[in-house]
Amino acid sequence: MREGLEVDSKLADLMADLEEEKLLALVKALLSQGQTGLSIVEQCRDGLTRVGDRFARKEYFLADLVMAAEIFREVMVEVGPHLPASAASGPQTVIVLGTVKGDVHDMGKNIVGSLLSASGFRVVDAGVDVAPDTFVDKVKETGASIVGLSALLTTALPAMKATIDGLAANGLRRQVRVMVGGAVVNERVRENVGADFYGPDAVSAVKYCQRGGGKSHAA
Amino acid sequence: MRPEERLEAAINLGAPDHVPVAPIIASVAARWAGISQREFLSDTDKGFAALDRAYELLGGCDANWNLYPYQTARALKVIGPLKVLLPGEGIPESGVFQYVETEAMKQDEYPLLIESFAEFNKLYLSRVHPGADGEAIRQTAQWRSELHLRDVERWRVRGVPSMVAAVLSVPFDLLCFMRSWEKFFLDLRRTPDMVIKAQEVIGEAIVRAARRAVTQTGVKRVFLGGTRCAATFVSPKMFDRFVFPTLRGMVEGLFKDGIVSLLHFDSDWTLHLPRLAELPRGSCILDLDGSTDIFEAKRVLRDRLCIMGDVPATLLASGTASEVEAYCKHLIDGVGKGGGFILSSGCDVPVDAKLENVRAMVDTAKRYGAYR
Repeated sequence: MREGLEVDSKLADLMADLEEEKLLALVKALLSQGQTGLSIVEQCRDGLTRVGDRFARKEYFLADLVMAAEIFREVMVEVGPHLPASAASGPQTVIVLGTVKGDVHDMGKNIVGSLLSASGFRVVDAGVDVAPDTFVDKVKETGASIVGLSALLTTALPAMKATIDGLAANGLRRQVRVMVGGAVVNERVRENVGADFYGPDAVSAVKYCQRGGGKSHAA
Repeated sequence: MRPEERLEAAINLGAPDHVPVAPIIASVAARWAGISQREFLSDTDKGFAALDRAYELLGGCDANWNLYPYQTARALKVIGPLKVLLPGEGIPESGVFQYVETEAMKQDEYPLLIESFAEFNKLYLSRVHPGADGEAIRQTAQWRSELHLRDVERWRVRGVPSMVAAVLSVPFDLLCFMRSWEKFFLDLRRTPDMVIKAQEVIGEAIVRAARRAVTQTGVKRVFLGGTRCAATFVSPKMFDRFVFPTLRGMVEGLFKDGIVSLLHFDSDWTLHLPRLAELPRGSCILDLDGSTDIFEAKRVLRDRLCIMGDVPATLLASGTASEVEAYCKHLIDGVGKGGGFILSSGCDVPVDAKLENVRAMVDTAKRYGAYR
């Protein structure tokens, strides 16, 4: 048990330290020794949480989050075949993400999506230049409880509002929490477009989703 | 005081007659002139006319922000740094052009780039701009240089200085564009030595291009764009290792020739400010977009580097004229004190900016920004 705890701790440490090669080598070794995929994923998720904490403390920055998401993705490639079928079906919380109509920028959306997936959410990426109707359809299809809208251009902000209005017009507004982000987004924009949460960075968006969403403003 | 004198005084960290004002006018000029974005980018006579009109509507500024030659459809589609979508190509006709990032340079191609950046750049451009062969690249580069010179001259005869001789990027950003951000940020940990060496090679090429442009135009300032190396993306530790050595070499090399680097640094640079304070006094204009704490920039860089900026795009688009005026007064009081400040927009004035808001910015600089 003690040895197991030490290995678990090492997995989380290597993940938190973004030691890609050492972590993947250890994952492969553990799998060959019969360690369960679920326990490996759990420990790596603990490490990912610590990555988020380091980001919040300004020890890690966005480039580090990109590395963390990639390492986790590689871990899942190794572990995936060793996960029980019930685990592979994924978590219950569905999040629809997209960059709104008229805007094709995707960096923020992609990083948030990667971190949310790594954190156990089912992410439905609607892509870029997404029409309000498409967001509405995706929410209806998936039963999503959170919608994330991204925009980098001021000219895309009307589309952000139109999307949220579209959710309301289709009777979906109570079902979903809407979070918004992007270079031109701020608290004033959040209020103007009728969103629930403004995330100034990827980690705050993930934490919001981990809190289950809520009619609260940016933390 | 003439606009060039006003600019020079601020760049040399002094106080001119009033705070110089130079909003970055690009796509918004088309809207104010009543032409489409597509026309603006494709028809250079209409483009120049629209920019002239914008200048008149604002009552005159202290510089021609001559980004236009670099943002024409022809230049973007043949020698632009990234694959680009023009208005009407999947984005609204009334919208602005947008870059699309792809992994056009593979991780195993660093040695190729290091061996010859000039040759590799041609290969890279042919990948992001299908049909752009060596001859098309050469001809378009020539055309753009001539357009740029024409633009500089037509403003010079009116007594208005052009802001820059050339629009270039810091090597870190260019490399990030080539690899795509999703791959490049991984390279920092996987192949750090290659990243550093590649930037040195690119930096040498950029400095050569800058010197050529300065000789050709007579404008002794060059635009160096940097976003991906901001503290939004990389830690101060990573900045120190990967970015600053090359950046400092470039800035110092150019400054020895009397060339000022206009560091157009978008996103948040607050945590990198102490390092920028090591650049030679008067060697740069630090041009901020509203994400960096500009008051902290003044505190750290006072008497070191001229600061420019940073009226945010969102304020110019959806604020009121009195809100813009209040914002500018606050900037002038805090950042303009003692000189060394140029009032500008935070990056481009957005295409949906209200004319009265940009006018308010210009008027505030001239009236409230007077140095007594």
